[in-house]
Amino acid sequence: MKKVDMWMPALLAVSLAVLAACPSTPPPAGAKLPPPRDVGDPLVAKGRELFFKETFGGNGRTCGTCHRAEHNLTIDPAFIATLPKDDPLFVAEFVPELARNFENPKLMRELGLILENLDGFSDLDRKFTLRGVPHVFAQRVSIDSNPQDRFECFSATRCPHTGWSGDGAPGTRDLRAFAVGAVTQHFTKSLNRRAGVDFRLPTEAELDALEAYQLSEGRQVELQLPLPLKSAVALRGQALFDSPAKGKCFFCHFNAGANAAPGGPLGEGNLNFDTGVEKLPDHPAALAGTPTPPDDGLGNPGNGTFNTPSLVEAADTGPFFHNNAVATIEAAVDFYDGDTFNNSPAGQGLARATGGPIRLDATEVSAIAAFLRVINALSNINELQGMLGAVERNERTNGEHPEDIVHRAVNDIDDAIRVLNEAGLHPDAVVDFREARELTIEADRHPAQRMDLARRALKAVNRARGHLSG
Amino acid sequence: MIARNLLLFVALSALGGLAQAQQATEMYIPIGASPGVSGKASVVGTIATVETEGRRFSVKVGDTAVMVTIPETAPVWLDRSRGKGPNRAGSQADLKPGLTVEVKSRETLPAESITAEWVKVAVTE
Ligand code: HEC
Ligand code: HEC
Repeated sequence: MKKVDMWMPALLAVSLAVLAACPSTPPPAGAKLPPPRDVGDPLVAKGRELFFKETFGGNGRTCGTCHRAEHNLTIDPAFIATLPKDDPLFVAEFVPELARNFENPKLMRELGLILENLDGFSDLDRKFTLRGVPHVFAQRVSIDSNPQDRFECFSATRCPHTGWSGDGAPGTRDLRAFAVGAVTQHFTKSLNRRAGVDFRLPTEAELDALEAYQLSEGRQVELQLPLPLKSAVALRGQALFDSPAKGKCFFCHFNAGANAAPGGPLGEGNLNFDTGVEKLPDHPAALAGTPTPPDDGLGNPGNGTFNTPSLVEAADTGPFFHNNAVATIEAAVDFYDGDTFNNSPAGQGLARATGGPIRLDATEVSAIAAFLRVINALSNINELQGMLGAVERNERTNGEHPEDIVHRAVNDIDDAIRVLNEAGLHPDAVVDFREARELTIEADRHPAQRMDLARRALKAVNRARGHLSG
Repeated sequence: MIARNLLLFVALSALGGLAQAQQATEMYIPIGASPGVSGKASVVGTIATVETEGRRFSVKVGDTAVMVTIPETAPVWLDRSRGKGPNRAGSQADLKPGLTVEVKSRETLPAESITAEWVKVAVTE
């Protein structure tokens, strides 16, 4: 916070505040975000079960069809390619009622894009958006545009921000409402979308459970930058990320999360900006020969703004941006050095307020990306500590059996290895991760030794952690 | 120069008209079934009277009457779930005395007169 107060000119306050998409009508006093629940809580376990198994009487999809348990609660083209033809993700390919205007199968397979009718259902041929699937980790700390009054949203102004444009949910726009919207959009058997016929609406109790589960997934608190990182390149990247003169990233992604720098000018919480992603040249969807309507962001008609995502979870959940515009984290960082960002409303506001555009050279781009890779590996380690710890104690977490947890743990280890290897970071930690991987696979194979093998895998993971950060 | 740019920003954001929040899937939720909204931020009742080409109407909710103003931007949806028909976009002309309605209020409830954010009206045909 100090970093902001020290230098922030009043001008920035004004010019960026108007970019943030929330008008300031004070909302009525109301309920706060539901409190954290522990991993053994039955409501969370029920929510997890619903999220991955409940089809709500619809076309066979579950929330987990797109937010996969074994793939960081998201999907990407490489993962999609491994799915069988009859996976419910592909209902548009085999259910005749859903053949038109429900999904774009070509762009789903090539780019991992999902069709949504965010601006209404009045002209299905022309009015739709195609968006990537966000991981739904760390919701507790990343959808909150209104910390004073989080889940009451009757003024329709300062509401929770869900989805890429912050307006993915109807009604109260919180996670409960989001689930209703998701069922209506993605689960229907026909485009008539009749509640009670084409799908059923979740009950109040189911919505509570789904919300409790989602709020318990992933990170529950913000990182506190700067971290004592051991890689000189990642450390430099962190400094650039947090520099008001160079990277300027922290204004919008404070502590590499989804919230604006507090005490600063942007307002509090998780905000929307027009950073120009829609205006990038050579969008992969356009290159694929499938012109898609422009995505106008928040509202209807939209104001061109999109919601700030958390970056801690980013490096292993590409492609990046709302339309999966770029495939690598390096390219996503490099976006901020380009004309498209710096000429965008957000880029211009930032430039005026901070004395110039964001300019980053190749080494600086890789350093920031290295920082994002390392904090992503650290977040995988946090997840692994929880998972392997539970297996070691032979405990369920969120209702998940140790047998399944250990199976899933391998994916997180693979992610950590990949995220570091791709940029040649921390070969020392990778060696430990590989050992952890072998032990975890053994634990998966030999239930009788599961607890002991998990304990040893956890040790290796902790050694890897020691290489990344002090 | 800076001042002018700032003014431009303010003007643009005001024009953005964010009152029209995302409502797309709301249309498909039957009357009274919107989680967190129905009965809390909305009134559900029967249309009593309709004035000035549907821009104002009164809703009878139990023993009380609530006066509703519909701004031009507020959508009216036809809830056809009772006849198992698909819900559709409608218009103010669909608001007729005797029909069941749900009105999402812009004002905090309870209130004697409210501005609609959206209106759902039950029709059977
Ligand atoms: C067909 C794929 C698909 C299915 C099925 C699906 N989602 Fe999503 N989900 C998406 C996409 C695409 C987005 C981005 C939406 C947007 O930008 O408005 C998203 C966004 C979200 C978000 C917002 C995350 C954020 O960071 O703001 C939440 C929460 C969410 N989904 C929960 C659910 C729940 C709960 C279900 C089941 C009831 C579900 N999803 C089913 C594709 C899917
Ligand atoms: C003015 C606010 C703002 C600033 C400054 C900013 N970002 Fe962002 N960032 C956003 C928004 C908004 C999005 C979502 C844009 C979209 O999808 O259209 C985003 C998306 C991203 C993504 C994609 C995440 C994902 O999961 O797809 C990355 C990576 C990223 N930003 C990194 C950075 C870095 C690195 C910097 C500094 C060089 C930075 N950002 C500066 C607002 C900002």
